[in-house]
Amino acid sequence: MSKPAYKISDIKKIAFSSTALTTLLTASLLYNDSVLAQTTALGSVDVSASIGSSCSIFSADTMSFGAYTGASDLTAETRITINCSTGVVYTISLTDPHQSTAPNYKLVRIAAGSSESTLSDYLTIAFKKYGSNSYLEQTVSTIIGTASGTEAVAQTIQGVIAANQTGKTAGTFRKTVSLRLSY
Amino acid sequence: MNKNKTKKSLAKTAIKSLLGGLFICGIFPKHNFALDATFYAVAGISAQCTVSGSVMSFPAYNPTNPSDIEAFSVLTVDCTNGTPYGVSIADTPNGGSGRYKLVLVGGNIANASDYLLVSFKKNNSSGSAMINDTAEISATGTGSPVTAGSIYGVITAGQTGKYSGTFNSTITLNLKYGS
Repeated sequence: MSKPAYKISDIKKIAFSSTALTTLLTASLLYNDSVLAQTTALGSVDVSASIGSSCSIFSADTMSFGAYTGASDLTAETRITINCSTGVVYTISLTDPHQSTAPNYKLVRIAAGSSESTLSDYLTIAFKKYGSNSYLEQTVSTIIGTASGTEAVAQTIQGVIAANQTGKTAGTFRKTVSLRLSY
Repeated sequence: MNKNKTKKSLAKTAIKSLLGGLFICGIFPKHNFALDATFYAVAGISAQCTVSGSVMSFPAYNPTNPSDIEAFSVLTVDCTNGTPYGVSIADTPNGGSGRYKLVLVGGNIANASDYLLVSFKKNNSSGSAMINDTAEISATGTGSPVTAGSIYGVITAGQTGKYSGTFNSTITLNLKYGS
């Protein structure tokens, strides 16, 4: 197989074409140089999120005693429900001032003219953490816990109406007890 | 001196401003949050009453004695404070004319020789006859045992032909209470 033979005129044509292509590539490279000349700065963005400690639910059901006869101590319980963020350390305390010597409060008879100052119109009551022997006192944070992050019973408070409270008038005796959840 | 005071004052102001700014920015977050709640504690005291009467003990009855013989039973009532009550005799007279039979121990209530007739009145000889839940002795409970009153009993004279011995009867009282 022999190489093809080129005429002089053909060689000139190839030379012109090669020159034109080279010029085009050079122009293209010059254009790209101008793109590469743009400056680039590096930066950073801090991304963070947080969950603040919070409690959304704090409630207690009614502490409902049976009929008091005075023959023996009468007890009843209320369950305190909370819903706090996981890990939140909380305390629960009574906020009402004692109506007689601590730790006592009074359930007062519901009737017109009834008075917490009248012996026959009240029953003395004290509260304690269920299963404990020590009574709760105003603002003393006896109940301490760590939240689980879900709605749950934080503690059960037991009320005790001591026996032998005589001379009371028949009727319904009640007190609204205030609690504070601190966290 | 004045320059020093001015410097101190400026320093204090600066510290206060700085601290104020820190608080505003929340660098010193408040840790103590609180929620408050309440619950009801409720108990009830039901009206309760008890009653008892002392033994009505008569002196010896002498059929030849023209005088009636008398005795009293003192009623003790223990009612919840503030509870109104009334005590009456529940039994129906079994001796006729509002009288009751005291029966000889071991005797027969149907035999005239085996019983003495007695009648009862409220509090004293001039009181109302107590029969069939009438003439209540009433008051209001105090929460502790109290003497509510007395039942007066009288065995009239002239009941002859009786056996000697001890005659007695248990009288039932009715205690009503509550509003």
